[in-house]
Amino acid sequence: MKFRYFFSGILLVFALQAQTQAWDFDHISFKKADSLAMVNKGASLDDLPELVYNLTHSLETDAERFRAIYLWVCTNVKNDYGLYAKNKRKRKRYQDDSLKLEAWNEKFKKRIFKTLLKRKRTICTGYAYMVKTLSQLVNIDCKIINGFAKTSSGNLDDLRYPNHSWNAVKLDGKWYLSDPTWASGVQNLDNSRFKFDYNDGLFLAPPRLFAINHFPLEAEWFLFKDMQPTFTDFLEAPIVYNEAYKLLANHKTPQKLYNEVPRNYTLNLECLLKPNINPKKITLDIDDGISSKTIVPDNFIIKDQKLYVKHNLTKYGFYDIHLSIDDQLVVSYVYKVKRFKAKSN
Amino acid sequence: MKKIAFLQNGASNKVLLLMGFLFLATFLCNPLQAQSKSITVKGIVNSEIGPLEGVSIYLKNSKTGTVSKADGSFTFPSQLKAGDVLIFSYLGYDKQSIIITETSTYLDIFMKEAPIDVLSAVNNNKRYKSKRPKKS
Repeated sequence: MKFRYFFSGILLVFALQAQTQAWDFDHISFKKADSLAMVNKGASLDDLPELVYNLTHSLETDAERFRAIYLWVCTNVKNDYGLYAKNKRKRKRYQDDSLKLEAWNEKFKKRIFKTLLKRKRTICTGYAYMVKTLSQLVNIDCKIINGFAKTSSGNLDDLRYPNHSWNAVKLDGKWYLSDPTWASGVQNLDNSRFKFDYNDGLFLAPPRLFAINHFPLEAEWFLFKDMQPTFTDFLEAPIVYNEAYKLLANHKTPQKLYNEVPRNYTLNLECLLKPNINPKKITLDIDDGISSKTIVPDNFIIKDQKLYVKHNLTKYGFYDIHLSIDDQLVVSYVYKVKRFKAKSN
Repeated sequence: MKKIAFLQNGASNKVLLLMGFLFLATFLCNPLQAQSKSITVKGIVNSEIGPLEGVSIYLKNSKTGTVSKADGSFTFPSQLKAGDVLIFSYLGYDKQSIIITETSTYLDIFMKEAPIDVLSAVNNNKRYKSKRPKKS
């Protein structure tokens, strides 16, 4: 009997560990932290201790201090597309030559920090570095996590080598994940301009949702132990958009981006909504390569914050299917509805 | 009778207090002396590329601080005492914490570059478009 309690205790600990996300701090108001980040908008990076002092000295908890630092970085540091493109090109060129790659990294690192200091522009690692450095100055345990990130371009060529950095932070004894680069704003690829557009969903993001498009080099930084995705799972996963982080706590099915199904197959979608999210409108955009139509799915229900969407695929074809919740693009899948040859013996 | 007992108790309490005070005093005396001695801290900040300008140097848990000059030199603006911690911080370099002792009048600091891999992925929120087979 005692053992039963012991094991259920352990299970509970694991369950709690697996659920470290922003709403753990719903009892704390981040109003003051947010206003401090706003008051210090435009501050220079010349004196980091002074900046971090101004951001945090009147705040009482580590969660608030981290919030002020994180929000300041996200709303003051711009993504530099030129640097991004150059680094991507060089890293690709040197991916099989570790010495050249290291030499490039050393050289580029200096340039990155100079640009960050003088122009407050950077790329992912610079964001993660800023959040880590400022947090450590107020004794908050914060790390840079390197790994793979799957963007909405869905280009698997980008995932042949690590391409992204984000943060893990320890608050009240638990680790949390945040992605300051993607939270900061949106990069317009057509004109290379960056637009600040803070996305709060990536602050202390739910780890299981995060794992759909963030694959850390070290598995411990998934922050959950059961059912960790393999790299193949990650490569094959659906495309999750930044907006999803505002609305979802997890995305469960379909687990793959690309699916081949017979005619009249019923698409079954299951997501877990964040607490306090009550969607009014669920739509599917179905694109057959020639035209795109927005439809209301055959059936959807929301029960205990779980969203179930069902839709029958009645015609043969090749479809990109995009789920939107309250007009916000959340996730994409590809469905090939085809004839399956009868198995011959 | 009660009063006498109370007085006796009071007297023994006083003796105990005095002894406690003496006991504490012997323990605290040396650090007190050490703490009262103020130290002027000067020094230089170097890196692989030579003297480092603009390094923030500040007293831990305070706003008191300074920055290093073009030749890497600095003089801390306030007097310090043994046990104080000075933090050296500069973008792109690992932060250093130095505990001040009575002999820390001149600090020779070497800042090491932060060991990071520069990585980047850009998310543009553009709707995904699959690469279709030519015939579908």
